[in-house]
Amino acid sequence: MKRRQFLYGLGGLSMAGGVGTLWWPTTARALRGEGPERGPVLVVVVLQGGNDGLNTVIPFEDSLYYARRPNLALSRADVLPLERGIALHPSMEALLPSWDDGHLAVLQGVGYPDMNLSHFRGSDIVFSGSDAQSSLGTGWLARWLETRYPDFPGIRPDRPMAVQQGFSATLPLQGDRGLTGLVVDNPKSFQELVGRTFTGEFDDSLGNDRGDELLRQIREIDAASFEYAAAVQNAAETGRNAVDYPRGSFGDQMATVARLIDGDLGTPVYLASLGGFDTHAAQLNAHGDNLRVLSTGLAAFLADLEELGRGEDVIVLTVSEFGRRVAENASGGTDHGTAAPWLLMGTSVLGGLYGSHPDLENLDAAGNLTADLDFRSVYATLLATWFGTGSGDVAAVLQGTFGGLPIVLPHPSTQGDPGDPDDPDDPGDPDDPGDPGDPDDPGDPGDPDDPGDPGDPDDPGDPGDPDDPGDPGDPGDPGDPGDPGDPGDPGDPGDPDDPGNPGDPGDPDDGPTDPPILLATSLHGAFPNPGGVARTISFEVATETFVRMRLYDTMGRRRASIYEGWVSPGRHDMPWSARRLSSGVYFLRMETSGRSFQRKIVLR
Amino acid sequence: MVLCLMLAGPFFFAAEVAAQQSLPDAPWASRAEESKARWGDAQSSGTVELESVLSWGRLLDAVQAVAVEVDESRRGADGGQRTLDRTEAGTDPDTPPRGWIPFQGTFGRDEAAHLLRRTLIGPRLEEIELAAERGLSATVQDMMVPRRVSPPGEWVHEPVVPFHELSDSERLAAIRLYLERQTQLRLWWVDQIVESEPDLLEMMTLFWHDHFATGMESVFIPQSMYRQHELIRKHAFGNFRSLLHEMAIDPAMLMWLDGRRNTVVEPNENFSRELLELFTMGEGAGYTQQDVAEGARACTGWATDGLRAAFFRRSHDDGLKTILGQTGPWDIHDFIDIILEQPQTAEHIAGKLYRWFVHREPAPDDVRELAEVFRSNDYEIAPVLQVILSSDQFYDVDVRGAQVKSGVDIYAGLLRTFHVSGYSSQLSTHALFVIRQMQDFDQLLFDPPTVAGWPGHLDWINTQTLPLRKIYVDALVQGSANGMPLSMGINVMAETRGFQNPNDPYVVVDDLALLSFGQPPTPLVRQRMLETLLQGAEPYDWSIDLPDSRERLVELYRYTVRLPDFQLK
Repeated sequence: MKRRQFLYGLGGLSMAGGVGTLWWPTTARALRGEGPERGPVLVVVVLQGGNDGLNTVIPFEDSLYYARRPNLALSRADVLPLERGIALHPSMEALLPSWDDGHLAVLQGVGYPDMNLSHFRGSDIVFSGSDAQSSLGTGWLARWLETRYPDFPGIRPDRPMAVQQGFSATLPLQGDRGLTGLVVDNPKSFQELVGRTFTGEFDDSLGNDRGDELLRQIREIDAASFEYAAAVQNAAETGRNAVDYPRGSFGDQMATVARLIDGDLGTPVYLASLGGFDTHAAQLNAHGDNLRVLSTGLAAFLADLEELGRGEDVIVLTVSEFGRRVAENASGGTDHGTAAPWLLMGTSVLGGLYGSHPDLENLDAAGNLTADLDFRSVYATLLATWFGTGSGDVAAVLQGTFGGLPIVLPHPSTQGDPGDPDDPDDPGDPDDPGDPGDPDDPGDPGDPDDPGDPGDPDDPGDPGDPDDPGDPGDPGDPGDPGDPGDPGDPGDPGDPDDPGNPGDPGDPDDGPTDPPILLATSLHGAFPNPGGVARTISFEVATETFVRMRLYDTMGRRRASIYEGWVSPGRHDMPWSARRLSSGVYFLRMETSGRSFQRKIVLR
Repeated sequence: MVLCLMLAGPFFFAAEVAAQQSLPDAPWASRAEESKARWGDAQSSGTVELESVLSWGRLLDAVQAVAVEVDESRRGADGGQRTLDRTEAGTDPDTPPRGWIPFQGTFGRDEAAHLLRRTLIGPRLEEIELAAERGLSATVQDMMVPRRVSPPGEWVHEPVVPFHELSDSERLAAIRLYLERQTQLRLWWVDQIVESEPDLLEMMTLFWHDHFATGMESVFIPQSMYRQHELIRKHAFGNFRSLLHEMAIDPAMLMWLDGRRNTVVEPNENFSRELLELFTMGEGAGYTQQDVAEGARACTGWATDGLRAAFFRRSHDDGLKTILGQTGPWDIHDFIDIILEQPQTAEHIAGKLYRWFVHREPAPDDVRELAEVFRSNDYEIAPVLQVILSSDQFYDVDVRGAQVKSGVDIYAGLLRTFHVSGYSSQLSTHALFVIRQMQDFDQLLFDPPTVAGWPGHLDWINTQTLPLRKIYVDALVQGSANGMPLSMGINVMAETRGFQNPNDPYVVVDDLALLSFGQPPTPLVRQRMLETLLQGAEPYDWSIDLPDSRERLVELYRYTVRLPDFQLK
């Protein structure tokens, strides 16, 4: 490994072509010389029973919240503030590092018009991606998988198209042409399905021709159902977990997903689930416990993927069939409601608050919230941006065009040059009229003049507008530029308050010959912010490492490659000129070996 | 009683009204002439109000428009793909005839279990033991004792809502009400199955529902569907001739196959064709398109308000028709009697009964012989069933376990076998859980995929339904689904305590296998079941009173119901 000198400003701009294909060896697999299949992976976590959104993402400065929930409201002193009067439930502390790193997008008020309050029907809608009136009978993921694997089921893909854990509703994976994935239960019965009841070993005879013939055929079908069992088992056995997961089914599920990803199963879609959100009575502790299970499981999963070098490849979306009633009921619980926040997490996620602050005043006739973000916009974004699916296919899968959201970056494998104008399927093409996420596209259903459009980046009235430069709670808020990281972050390897830290994180001259052990690796931001074209990008690394610094717009399109190369340990303040970029909101993203960081930048 | 009415409608110049309720239960005359006498003026009784007669057409048009609307909105749910019927599979000339020799072997537990697996939806262990004790003859005899059930509600007698007279909001409310009652009706039948006596009533009702496959999505009126269902129950193992005559003018059938639109001015062949092709002679069995067209003319003149059927002489084509070589001024009942004179009709029905109860490829001679029994008993169904179920070939080892369990066998049968209570036809979450299985297993009661019924057999099992079946039975064993507890579930401790000796692990395994599979397990499967129960312990260490016995039994039951063997009966 040849060390390169870190030269400020020299060749820092537009290096994308030269080293863009370099992939640094961070995993044991890579060191073994094996080439991992690094496609984008989506993990959908289903919160069964209808998660109480108001006690998950809490409008803690809204007096109506306390008025409508005298017994269930979380105390201002306890909640975990994010920004703009929005906080997380105290049990969700494990997610704060992701928030701080810009890897957690909180999608507020997700739902659809005329939300259905039945568990079955509501789940059907969310899983199928239909509206409230129609019943599709196929899952949105299945339809997408069938688009992606057009030969299925005549020719099955080499790898399972999807693996579903934990719950039996198979609608998400039910396509027009059959079940598009493996359904496995929790890890215990997963083993059972794969091992103990897999019928390969039952080739013995009943001793009667007619019965034997039928049994043979059913065994064949059974075998086809579990055709991938060997691949799954192999991936589960060779895959590792680099961190410990919280005990319990959810932690087990997430650990299994991570193992399968690390074991190179090559499956693009995973489903996991967590039950117990149908909190009609005595919900305060039960819901908090459940959110803790969720948060610690997700945090462990993301940390695991980072350790395994697969953080880049995976995003996690939490969904639930509906939220819950604003007002608490007489049993210390909440009844079925409507819109609720969904969470999107991962190092490729553009963290922040999206959608509007829940309006607790103007409720519907049943006392429920009005949806602000259509869940199909979330789906459309993941398919178009994350998976790089062409806009025509996305519209076909979702049976309509839904505006994209600035919540995720394209996966490296699906990302061409930013906005290749010749590629009609390029989801990042700003000139593509069919691009669902193009804010300047007049044909875009997310009408930029529509004040109610939650995804409109140009709408000054939108409280969730990421373009709003005056937004005090902006995740790109410079805050303390010298803050090398959250001191309360248990996962932060370079806690500056650690007395044992030998390296001075503020000293750029800290010699590379004396590599500090406990220095923080962190991206502080580009300062001043908001500001003009002349900026200083401030970051630090704990060890000598390869750094890639890039700038993305809110649609996830890469707009500039700022730096790629090896840097020495310590703090670096890199001058950077934002010339030729139009004013607006951008995401500055720093990638180091196995970790990435994002900061929002507002350019005036 | 004849009621002549002068009507202004295009077809209804006058009417003779035969109200559905007045139809006699007596067996039908075997000759066309006698039938004509029965179904002519002498049989026309009851009164239908002029206004209601006038409004029938409009009423049902409005209802069926609703049905189409609802149907369209649901259409996506099944992907619009329907498997072609395979129940009409013919005989297999390669199958050597066995003849209908009465079974002379030992009628033990295995034979009793085989009999009950094919005749009951979800036989119970105690029923199998009782049957083995009482013997074959007494068991079969008692299976065909008529039994009546209570309807799902008083609403089955309600007149059809006048959809065309309602405001939009009233109409919407009526649609909702009917949809809810449709669900009630489906669940009510599951209740009847689960609560049923150990007789042939539910299995034969399912057979005829599959045979005269009528879809509620299209008919839409739940009380019409209930009336048809009641008709099927009445004749389930009674007389096919009676069933056919009444079915031909059943309100739901008149709506389902457009009989109510079949008039002298505009004949509609839909019913006539299916009558010949599916309900009686069978496809390619010697009738022609000319017979279909002439038969359609014979069937003209019937109308319905959803609850009753009435014959309107002026919309009937009373000209001469030549059907299957016989010429006369035939009406619908003449047409049916002519069909019943054809040997193909008895063969078709006998063959279907054979395939339903025995196996898929009967020898042609065996079917012909069975058809002879059918005809010589003037289409009484019970003697045919008696012959089949008492025959040597029914108990042949080669036949056992050679049928695929239907969806109903799984979602309702399992509840019955394992005494699952807590299930209710009320629209609870758990009832909806059962409805979901009907859809997942592709056997939604009252909505067979096509007029040809469910394809059945190996079409029940695919890579989608097989995991779903496993997941369902697994949920019942575990007592939870989707992470939410089910109030319905299999009490493995109580079930196992009902076994011959719950403290003998071999008996536990064998009794569970008896309830789960179509045949005794292979040595390997039996060994695996035993290992699952014992979990490393020695057989003599097993006792149902062990602290972890419930847990181990749950594992055993889960394992058992997930085996491919579980899908056979």
